[in-house]
This record gives sequence, structure tokens and C-alpha cells, in this order.
Amino acid sequence: MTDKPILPVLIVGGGPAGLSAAHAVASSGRQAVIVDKADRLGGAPILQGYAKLVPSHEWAKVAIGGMVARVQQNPNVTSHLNTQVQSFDGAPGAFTATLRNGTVIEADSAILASGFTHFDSLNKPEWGFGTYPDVVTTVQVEQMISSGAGIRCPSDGRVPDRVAILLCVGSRDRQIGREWCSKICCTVSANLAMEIRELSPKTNVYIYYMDVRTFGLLEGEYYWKSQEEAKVKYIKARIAEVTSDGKRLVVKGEDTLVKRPITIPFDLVVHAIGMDPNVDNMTLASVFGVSLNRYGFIDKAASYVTLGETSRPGVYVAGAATGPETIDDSIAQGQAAALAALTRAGTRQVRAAE
Amino acid sequence: MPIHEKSLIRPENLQTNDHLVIDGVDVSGHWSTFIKPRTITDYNEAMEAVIWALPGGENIHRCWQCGSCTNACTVHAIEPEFNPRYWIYLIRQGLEEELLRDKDIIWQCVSCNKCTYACPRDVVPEGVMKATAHWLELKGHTAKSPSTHFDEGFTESVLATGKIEEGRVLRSFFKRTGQPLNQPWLVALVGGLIRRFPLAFLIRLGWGTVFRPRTRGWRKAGRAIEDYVQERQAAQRLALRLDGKGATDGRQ
Amino acid sequence: MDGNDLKRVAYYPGCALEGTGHAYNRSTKEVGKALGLELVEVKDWNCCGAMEVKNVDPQVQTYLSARNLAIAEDMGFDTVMSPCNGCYHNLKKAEYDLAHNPHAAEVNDRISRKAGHKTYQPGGVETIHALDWIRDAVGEDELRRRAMGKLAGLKVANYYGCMYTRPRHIYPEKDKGPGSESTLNPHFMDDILAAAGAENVDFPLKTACCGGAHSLSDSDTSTKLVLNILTTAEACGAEVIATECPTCHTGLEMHQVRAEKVLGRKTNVKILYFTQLLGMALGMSASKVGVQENMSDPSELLRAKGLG
Repeated sequence: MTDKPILPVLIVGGGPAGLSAAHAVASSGRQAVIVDKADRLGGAPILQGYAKLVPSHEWAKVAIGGMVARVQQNPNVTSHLNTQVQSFDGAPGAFTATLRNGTVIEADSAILASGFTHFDSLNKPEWGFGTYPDVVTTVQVEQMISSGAGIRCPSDGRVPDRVAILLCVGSRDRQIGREWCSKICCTVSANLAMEIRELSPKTNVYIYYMDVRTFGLLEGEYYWKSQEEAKVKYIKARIAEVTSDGKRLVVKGEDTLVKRPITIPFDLVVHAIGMDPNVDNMTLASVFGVSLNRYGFIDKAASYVTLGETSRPGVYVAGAATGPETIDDSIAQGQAAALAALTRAGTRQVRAAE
Repeated sequence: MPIHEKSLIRPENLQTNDHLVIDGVDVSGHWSTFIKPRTITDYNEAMEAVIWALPGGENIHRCWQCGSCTNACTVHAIEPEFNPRYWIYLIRQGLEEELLRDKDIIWQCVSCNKCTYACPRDVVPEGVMKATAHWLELKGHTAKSPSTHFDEGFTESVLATGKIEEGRVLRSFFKRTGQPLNQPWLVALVGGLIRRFPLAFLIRLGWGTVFRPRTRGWRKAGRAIEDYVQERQAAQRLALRLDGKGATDGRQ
Repeated sequence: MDGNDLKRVAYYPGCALEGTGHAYNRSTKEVGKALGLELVEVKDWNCCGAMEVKNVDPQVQTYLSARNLAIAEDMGFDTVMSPCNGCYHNLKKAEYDLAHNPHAAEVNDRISRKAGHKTYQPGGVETIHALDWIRDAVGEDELRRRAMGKLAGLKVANYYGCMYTRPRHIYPEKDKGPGSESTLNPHFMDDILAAAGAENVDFPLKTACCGGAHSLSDSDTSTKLVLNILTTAEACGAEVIATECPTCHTGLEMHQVRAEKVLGRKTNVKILYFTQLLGMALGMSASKVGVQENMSDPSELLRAKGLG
């Protein structure tokens, strides 16, 4: 038993949290095995084509791409793409995972870095997504910028005179069973608003908000800067509906600061979509035997004495799998979960040597 | 005092019809009053840009509507309709018609700087009030306010001589605004002093009138300032004209 | 003010002190003389623009002060003292704007060159108020020793107005804890008059606005504001409102009369410059500190208190 090498750490998900965890595990000299259902590593920032990241302003394909390359070049990391874990049995130190493609992986422990799923705006039909081509999501705007296509109205390719960004689409909304704040959308929206103003100075950008939660230092860099330098306007109103007068979109709501109804024409309406639990979370919970919290994210133990523990010993969790999370914090949590997995195994080694 | 808002229903928005039948139901007369909606139907981005161009208005876009200015305001305390936060909002959204409802009181800002002291965003609301009052005059929405007359008379004196003499500024102000000098309270004021110390007071009054105080070697400085002021004012006029859908045709 | 010689400072009286504020000018000089302090008037000074020129153009207002500061510096002074809140505020504001606003600095340079004098650079001269000057050059202990409690029994409301403390960013030396001036609850005048024996009343409107900027152009507003200050001072038990600004002082006096004539509201509180009170505490006669120029005739009260 003592002579037997310690098994690899299984990492589910190759986004920022998973890449960070894999790098940490591999750097310590241990083996990491990444399983990702997509055909590439990188997670949402790469697969969804994000533009410049918060708070570094670095392009996603450069920043996260660098993390992917670092892991791919490390001989201690193995990746299995286009597949998922079908079954997971055993105990800490001796788990066996079977993938859908038949591969069997013996693992010491597992880290769930399975991320989130973007909210699907079709669930809020009153805001016009799916009905009007010029109603888009923040992800689509990210793609317009990262692809170099620029800010255009999908209907006819014109540069919009006026853009509305609606915050809290799929967040803080009991009507659709989503009570959480998605944490990043305010900052992402402020960032995109500044990008739009830079790419197209004649385009005016309005952000409709209930609260603005550009927390911590992001306040200055995004909320203040977007107003003071990019001259983005913030209007306190939760929009009631988005319709069209046949030519332009019409945004309706109440401007709560002047207690007046508003019916304002816009060329482009952007939904700042929130972060849902990963659509696979029910399956993941059942396969890995971990519990989900009341919102459907993977339940995480309190952090005071443990790092990234789930309800099952030997199975850890990091990043947006646990709830809305920033890329920076996902990366930090990936490292934390790796440390937890490494020290768990380390404890066994020390005991065995006694 | 809570932040004051305009009442939601304005008298001019109430409508009654002498003869109106809807779906066969007679709804004439006072028993069925209709209220015209107060919907905001468009924004006018040019309006804020015009205020930026005027002295004092440079930071208006920083406002996040916290209400610190209105809450701190000296004038608001005695005139609830005086609401800097609200006006800043109207300008930023380009709601010109709404702003014009208050056009006759905006100039009354007393420059006490309580707003500027309180503002967490360095908007300098006091400056915005001045810029807005200035804009109203430049656009012809209001006549020159007494305050502007005073400022101009004062500035002219400074540019001409480097100093001001209060009696002269006062007389110039009353002349510009067409007010008589023999206002009862002013008469009582001067009269009180003359009764007590007739000679000393009259001598001082006369001295300042005859020997206008001036700064030695001021001429070049005065001229340099005048050149600059003219240049700035030309730029401001240009900014006001240039805007396509701004103050000129941005009415809703 | 640390290290600056406050016994001999450049003096910037400003226009008001040559007009309505004549008694302030006179009493300031007399108090300085009695305390062994020397004032050297800034040569060929010009108007600071008061609250008016900035409404025509703020950069011109900055230049007006910068010119005065440049002259004071040229005369070899590191400190310029102004008793007028408006002048003091504008010199301070110019100092701040020249250091923080590149546009203001650029315009100042342009006009200064055209006017044919050197461009003032921020940091050249420190601007202080008459309150700073007396408090720091003499000190409360010395004042206490010299005044021998002459103002005892005189109930004073200290009124500082707007420009002495607002906006706070132009007064970086204030709000620095014990010993420094407070922008919310200023106390230097209280300290000085208390040292001279006065009984300062608890006055909540120390930094309220008298509407001085619109004293004439919007008299009704000014009268309302002043009346509030006067009646509050009386309600607080004050017999005298001590002032340290000619605009505030004249505003209070003028609108005290106007409130009586126009609104029928008579108030009896007397309005005196703090330098007038201090001068009398140092043994000067009422006429020496120019009390005859005050519109609210305080002679009866002064007699009752054995002053002047």
C-alpha cells in the first residue's frame, strides 16, 4: 500500500477553475486528468468567445488561451475531451471514474470545476429576445467585439445610435425561480458599454438598473469610469417590456427617479444575462453523489476550516459550479481546491510512513 | 425634509369632455376626468453636451443621483421646487421641456457650496446651476437674471480697473435691472448711518465715487483677460449652435 | 503654516475692505499693531473676482488670484493673509486649481505672459485667513494674558459663513484633528474670542449661508436666510454675532434692516467683526475699531459691558 503511487486528481471541467486546479496539481508533481464535454479546453471565455476580460482588460483568447497552453504543455496533465463522467465509485484515495467513451480513470480525488450555464433569455419573452433580431445578449456583444465585426444591429447591419443594456436578465427574479445576483453582469455591462463607446463614439449607451453591483475596486474602474470617461448613462428602471414600432425597438418601463413612465426608442437592446447552474448539475450531483444547494449549484462547505469541500469526502468543487463567480475568483478557488486535494492525499502519505 | 418631487398629476393634464361617448357610454362632463400620460418618449443626448461646454457644467455627467446636493441645498430649504439633483437628471436625459418649467428659479443658487461639499462624485452642482442658468439665458428661455446683470457689471469693473468699488457696482446693478435706488429699506439703511455719523459717512461715500479705485499697471492684464473671455464666449456660442438636435429643436 | 514667519505677512485686504468692510480693515490692522504683528500690503493687488467673475469664466477668476499670489511671492513672502472669506476662498481655490486642473494652469500662464508678469506656480505662497494669523502668530495663551477677560459676560454667536470652509478640498490643512480647523464645526473664532473672555453660545448656524452672493440680486432670498441666522442667534441667547467676512457682515446688517422694513421682523442682535471685539478686548476705543461704521448700532450694549 505504501509503495503504491498516489493516484491522479480527476478534474471535471477545463475552464478557468479547472485549468487553474490542473496547473496547481501538476506543478506539485502529481498527475491531473481533465475531463471536458466540449471539444476544446478553456471553458466559457473561450467557447463563448468573450472579448476583453474584467479587470485585466486582456483579451480572453490571450489570457485564458495562455492558461490552456500552460496545461497542455505540462506532461503531468492528461485531457479527455468530448466526453463526460458516466459513473464515479469508490472512496477517497481510490475512486474509479468511467467516462462515456469507455475510458476508466483511477483517481485519488476529484475536483468539480464544471462551471455554469448562461441564462437563456427566451425565458423572459417580455424583453423581446427571440422575437426581435436586434435584441441580443451580453455574450453576443462579446462576440461582436472579439470577432472584430464591431457593434452592429443584427437586423440590417447598421451601427446603432442608441443601445440599451438591461441588467438582471435572469437574475434576482423570483418569477423565473432565480433569486440570486449573478455578481458579474453589472461589471461586464459597464465594461461592454465602454467598449461600445470606444468602438463607436456616436453610439449612446444607457444601462437600466435596479442596483449597480460593481463591487470592490471594480467600482472605480468600471462604474465610475464608464460614467466619467465613456459618458455611459445609468437609469434606474426595471424595464417592463421591449417591443417595436416597426422601425426601432421600444423600451418601456418606469424611470423611478422622476416617477414617470418611459417609452424610449432604441436600435439595439442587450440583455445582461446571468449565470445559471450548469444544465448538467442534476446529473453531476447524482454521478458524484454530491448535494446541490437550494438554487441548484453544487453545495460547498463553509470555508473557515476547509477548502472547496462538497458533501462527499474526496470530492472538491471550485469556481462557478458553486454559484456565480468571477474569473479571478474561479482561478483562486481552483488553486484552493487543488491544495485541498493534494493535502488530503499528503495526510495519508504521512500516516502511512509512520 | 424628503426630496421633493413634482406632484404626479398636473392640472393641465386633466381633461374633461363636454360630449364624449365611448362604446355607447356617455362619459361627458366632470364625473369622468381623463389624465394625459406623462410618458417620457425620447432622450436628447445633445442637451448634456451643451451644458458641458459652459463654465461650471464640465462634470455634470458624473452625477449618480444620490440627492446629496438637494439635501444640502440652502435654497431648497426655503424653496422646495429648487432641486439640483432633479435638474441635473433632466439635463442628462435631455428632458428640456420639463426643465423649462423651473426656468425662473434656477438662477437663484446662492453659491454656498454646500452641494459641492456634500457631493461624493465631484459633480460641482453649484457650477452646474450656474451653467444651466447661463444656458437658459443664452437660449433666450429667460431674460438675463438679476444675478447675471450683477456678475457682468462686476466683471466689467474688474476688467477695466482691476478692482471694484461697491457703490459703483451697486448703482450699475440697479441701472441694469431698471430698479430705483430709493428703495425704502436702502433709504432706511443709509439714513440710519447718516443720522449717526453724517460727516464721516458722506466723506467716505463721496471719496469712492470720485476717486475710483484702480490697480496700478493693470491695463495689459485687463486686455489679456478680455481677449480670453471673448475667445471663450465665441466657443460657447459655437457649442450652442453646433448641436443638431440640442437646445434648438430638441423640444418634446 | 509650520515654519512660516507669521509676525510679518503679506496682507491682501481685497475690495470690500476698502468699501463696506472698511471697519474690518481698520480693526484688523489695529489688532495686528497691538499684538506686534506686521502687515505688508500686496503691491498693486487686484480684485479676486469675488463670487461674480467665475460665473463669467472660472479660469479668469483663477488668474485674478494667481496674479496676487505672484506679487506676494515676488515681494519675498511665503504667507499671504486675507481677512475676507471671499478673497481667502479664491486664493485657496486658485492654489488648488492651478495644482489640479491643467486647463486652469494653462490659461493662467497664457494671461500672465500677455499681462507681462511671471506665472504663479502653486506652492509659492501659503494663503491664510485672519483667524489663522491671530491664532497661530499670537496664540490663545497670549491673547488670554493680554485681554484679561475684557469680553466677560458678552454672549457671542460665532458666524463663519460659507467660503471659509467650503468646498473642503481647497482647504487641505483643515479637518486634520485636534488643533486644526474643522470644516463642519469651525472654532478658530470661538477660540480667539473665548481667550478674550467672551461667552460663546452654542450656535448651530455657524456655516449657514447668508445669501451674500445674491444680497442685491435676489434680496428676498437673502433676507429670509439672514433672518433665520439672526433669530437663531437670538434664540441661542447671543447678544452679538461675531463675523469674519465683510460680505457676511454687510449681508447680515443690510438684511437685518430689510427684514424689519419689508417683513416687519425686528431683531436686536448686534453684528460686529471679531477684530472689533478683539480690539476692544485689547483696550481700544470703539471708534478706533470703527464701530461707528456698523449699521446695527451696538453702543448701548458696549457701554453696558464696559467695552470701547
